[in-house]
Amino acid sequence: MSTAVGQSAVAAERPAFHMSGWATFILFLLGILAGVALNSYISPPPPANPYAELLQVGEPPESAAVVKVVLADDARTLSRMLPGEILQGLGKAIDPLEEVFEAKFVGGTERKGDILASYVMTGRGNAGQSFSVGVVFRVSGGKVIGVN
Amino acid sequence: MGKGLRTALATVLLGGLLGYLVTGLGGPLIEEMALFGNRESTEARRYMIAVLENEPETLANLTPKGDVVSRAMQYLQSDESQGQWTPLSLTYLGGLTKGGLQVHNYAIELRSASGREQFIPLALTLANGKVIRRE
Repeated sequence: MSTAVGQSAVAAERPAFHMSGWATFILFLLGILAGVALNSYISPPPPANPYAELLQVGEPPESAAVVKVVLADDARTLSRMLPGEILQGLGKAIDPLEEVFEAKFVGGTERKGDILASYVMTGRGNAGQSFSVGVVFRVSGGKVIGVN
Repeated sequence: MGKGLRTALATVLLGGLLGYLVTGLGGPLIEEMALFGNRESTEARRYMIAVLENEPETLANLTPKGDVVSRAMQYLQSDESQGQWTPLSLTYLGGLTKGGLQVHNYAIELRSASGREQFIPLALTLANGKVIRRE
């Protein structure tokens, strides 16, 4: 009986495990790194581009002017700026947006004098929902000659 | 298992959970705020490569499942365009993440069987990893 009491007394006196602050911090940091690595593994980066890539160019003033008018919702000026065929292309490109709130130039490239200037336009769709579409203007010879 | 080991394991797991959540939730948020520019999406790149390589199965996996007729049309278009053109370049122009939607714009250069070269833009809108609009 006295032996059992003695053993439990020894167990009670055993010092409780305490990790030092640094050890806890390092383990926590390791955990964070493992979590980040796991997330990167689950959502891998885009596959390598097997084709050649063209150089990026800045925003051409011709498409910037058109976008400014679209944002101003100025149909009269837009009708004077673009011929019917290109207006139709623009209408198709911004479909289903009925009103454009925001347009951001996201990048452009050039090949043999043809510049493709790309934008993301955000606005209100025909069902009243917020929607974003990609619009790419083709600029050549100082004019907008196409829209996709 | 010793108490020490349990505490150490719990600390690592807690850190791991935090790291995973911060990367998973913070990444798209940072993209939406465009703090470091917009990263090209894996799905958009895979879709573009599938367009250029003429891979209807991959295209079907990356688009919302439509009706049987539209899927059949996709296969038909793919069969018809087989060997019609050779891709020359694929350039990511840029994109934006906005309210659950991702827009990614590309420029592609193609050479037709007759030797005619084309320089075409393509704008993709993605939702939940699927291409919902291609213009």
